[in-house]
Amino acid sequence: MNAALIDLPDLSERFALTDDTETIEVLAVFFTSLDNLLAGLRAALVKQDASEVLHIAHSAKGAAQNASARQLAALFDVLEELAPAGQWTQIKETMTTITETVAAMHRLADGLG
Amino acid sequence: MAKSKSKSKAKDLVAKSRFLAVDDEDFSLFAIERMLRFAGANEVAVARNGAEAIQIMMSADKPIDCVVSDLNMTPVNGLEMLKVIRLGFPKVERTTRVIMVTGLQDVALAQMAIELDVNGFLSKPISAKGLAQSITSALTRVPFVKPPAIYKEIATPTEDALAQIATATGLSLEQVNDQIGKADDAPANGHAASQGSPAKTNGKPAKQSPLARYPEAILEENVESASGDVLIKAGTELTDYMIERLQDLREIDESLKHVWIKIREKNSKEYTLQVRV
Repeated sequence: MNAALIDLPDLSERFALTDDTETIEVLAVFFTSLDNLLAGLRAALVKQDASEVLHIAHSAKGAAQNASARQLAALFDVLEELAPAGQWTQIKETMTTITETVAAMHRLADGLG
Repeated sequence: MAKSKSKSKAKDLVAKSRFLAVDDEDFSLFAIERMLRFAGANEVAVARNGAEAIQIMMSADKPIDCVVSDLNMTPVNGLEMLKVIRLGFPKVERTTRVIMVTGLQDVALAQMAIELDVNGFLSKPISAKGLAQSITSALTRVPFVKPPAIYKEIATPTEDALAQIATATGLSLEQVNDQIGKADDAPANGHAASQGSPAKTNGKPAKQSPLARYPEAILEENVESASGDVLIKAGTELTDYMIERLQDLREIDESLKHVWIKIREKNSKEYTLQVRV
């Protein structure tokens, strides 16, 4: 189990989860919200709207922290740092890493079901 | 036995109270709501920003007792919402308890939240246990507010925030401006105080701090965040309220673990001491 992707013991403790069914339920809400956040980020990237990238990255970091997804939270933190200066090349590279990380998280969560 | 009695009393208080969870991000909002229910809350409303929160508070059948809100939201953030509550708005109790969820990057805003008599801070990522402790502590204390005129001086909300509140509540901007801050200064429940008065409490602090041993203490130096923002100014009296907020902030920013305080003794001798909060 990769704790940096999703630290399941930490998630269980913070949400007071009692079994895998509850964990799956919580992660499902997280992934749905994450899809919306990523769609918003991609749209902001197309428009090169730095303030929108900053705002969504901040929200997404908070969501990832709440989901015990440390690696993802760190990547959103990088986006927050890159956004104000409009470093679009690095922002795009970070988005690619984020997409790969989210795919790995999905694989991990699928293993629970 | 006594501990289990007080635990059950706290759970009853939470069960009887009405809550409002506020966050503009769906999963974080879900987390607050779920953890409130885990703490024993039966009535939990949700809002996606400060304007929606004010609208829900205005239209609720019974007053909301406690708001748990993110600080950093658009279009109306947690501070702007808190200021509207403290100034007073139709059907919104000025003494409503407000707990702010903050991250390290939001710590600079904490000073303003303290000036607006926030009832607690929760650090990100939130936990069911931390949230339960925070709401119980806020609900068991007699809420404390200053006269609206004092809150008016604090430089938020923006005109834009007021416009958003007008849209959410269905009032005109003129009506919002007219209604804001006109609350009766005698809250239905709670305690209105003049500026600078210490927080009145009917219970002990949730966590015992070494600072509690020094009833006549003031801050010797500014309390600053890691980024250098002044959170609490030197000379501030360390009331129960201030000690609790220092403890909350310590959870968010590790650099705030120690503070310098000046102790005033009865025989007027003063000395300075560094204390671990």
